[in-house]
Amino acid sequence: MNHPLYDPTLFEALAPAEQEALRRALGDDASAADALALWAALRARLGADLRHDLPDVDLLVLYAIGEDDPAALAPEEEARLIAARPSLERAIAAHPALDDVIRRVRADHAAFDALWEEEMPAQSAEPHDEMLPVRQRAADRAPERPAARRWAWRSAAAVAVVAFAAILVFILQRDAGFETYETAAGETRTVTLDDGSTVMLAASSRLLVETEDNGERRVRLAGEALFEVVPSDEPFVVETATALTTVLGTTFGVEANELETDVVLANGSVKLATRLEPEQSVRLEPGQRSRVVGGQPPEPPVRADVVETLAWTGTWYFHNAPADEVAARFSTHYGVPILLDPSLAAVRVGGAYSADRPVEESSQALAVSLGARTEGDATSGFRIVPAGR
Amino acid sequence: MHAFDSDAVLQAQAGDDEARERLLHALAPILRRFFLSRIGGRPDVDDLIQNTLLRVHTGLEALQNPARLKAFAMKAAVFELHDFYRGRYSGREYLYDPDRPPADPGGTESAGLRVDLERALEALTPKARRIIELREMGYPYKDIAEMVETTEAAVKMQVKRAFERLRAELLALVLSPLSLLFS
Repeated sequence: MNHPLYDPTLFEALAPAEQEALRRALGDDASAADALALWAALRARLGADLRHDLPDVDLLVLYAIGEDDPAALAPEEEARLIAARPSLERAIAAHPALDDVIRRVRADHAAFDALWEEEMPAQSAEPHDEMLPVRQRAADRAPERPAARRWAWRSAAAVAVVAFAAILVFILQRDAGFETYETAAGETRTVTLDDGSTVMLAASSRLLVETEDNGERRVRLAGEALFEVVPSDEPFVVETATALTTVLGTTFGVEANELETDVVLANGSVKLATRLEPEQSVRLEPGQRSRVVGGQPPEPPVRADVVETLAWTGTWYFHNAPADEVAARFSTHYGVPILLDPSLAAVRVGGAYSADRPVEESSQALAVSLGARTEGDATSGFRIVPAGR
Repeated sequence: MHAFDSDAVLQAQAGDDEARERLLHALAPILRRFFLSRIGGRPDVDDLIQNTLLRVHTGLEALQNPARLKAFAMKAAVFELHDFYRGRYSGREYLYDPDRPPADPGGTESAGLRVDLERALEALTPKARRIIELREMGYPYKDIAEMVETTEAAVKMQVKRAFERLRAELLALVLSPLSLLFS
């Protein structure tokens, strides 16, 4: 039988429709069902044995670090390791895979130490603006600390924009002094620029980054991308065939074709101008979009569905959204009910939420932004209630 | 005074927000280079940085010796990296892991089969067992390939062969009683 079910490694790549096909096939093919059930049981048994012998994987990480560099361990970590060492060593002897993990940890440890030594002389004691997005996301996860709350507040200066823009291919191809990054169909890629800004390129996109230091931060784009631009005194400019999108430090996305530039702003502020007549510009407010078609002036900004527009990035960018809208988005995505206390439903929230996070973290992050707390679990669903209740 | 100097770390621990921010700012580029060097330019790098900084941020008070900041940050980064390796960042895997079909999809009990897991385990080659254990710990095949110093295709072939061997064992269990009936 050559059914793809018989390559278990393929299962991990199954799309929902294929999963449904798998369910149907299991219903029609008792032999396949038996084989897969046994396979699942075998894997579960191996996993259970591992967890029984090594209930805390972090201990293995500490063990590997301590083997190379005992001084790296804090006294309480040493004490934990001493207590756990006999059972750890039994687990390592019983499960050769743990040796592979130890080797990987040691390599990671060595790599970190080497980078630290390289970077230390270059470190500045002054704050670096690269931290802006860091603050925003860290605040989502560490709300209990005053400093974390301050990060969230400062993140209001960040911007998310999507520009459906264009740059003519011949312009991209003929320009020297640019480094080119491309993605194929179905591929995404993140590029880190010299100033620490990052660009997430969507599929079938092309980005040119100026390699000469001429006091400007300027890139060219054909396709679609999400930009996270670190704040600086130097403007950051995205050139497209029809427009120039200028920001002073922000997160924004651009998608380009050859006919128009369409900009959607999630947060912060951005200026959109025609390429040929830069004085013809509009300034967008969060939640608005505008576009430049051909050589026409930018259209007056209008309200945009920022969350949908930027959903391809795997992150939802909410700005001043009612909490029940955010909760509904989470519920649909995770397939888990996330209910809000009625007193919280209309409260406006903002922020960036990664769709890849576990539902527990996302619901907790929403609760934190509301100054509330969660009840329930991923099986029965979550309820977000005021903290004092 | 550098953000990593012991006095600066002590200030951060004592509640000096500016000292804490300087420290986190100074750590960020090191972490970025570290994670980029370990996993390449995956979009998860930013999350890894955020979460490592969060570990440092929340655990800083517990750092007893401020001169050990490097080891403290290294452990935070390595813990976070191994969370990533183990799939914590791949939330979708937990929504429906097709590598784990429903517990009794067909199922084994209705077919009257008695699954001899011990026998199936014994039939696994050491290499296949090692790979499956790593997979059970959450490491994706790509990373497993690097850990066992081979290619992803070779790793998957090991898994597939193990599955085929197990399936053959299962068929033998089914056919043996039938052959007795007709002998």
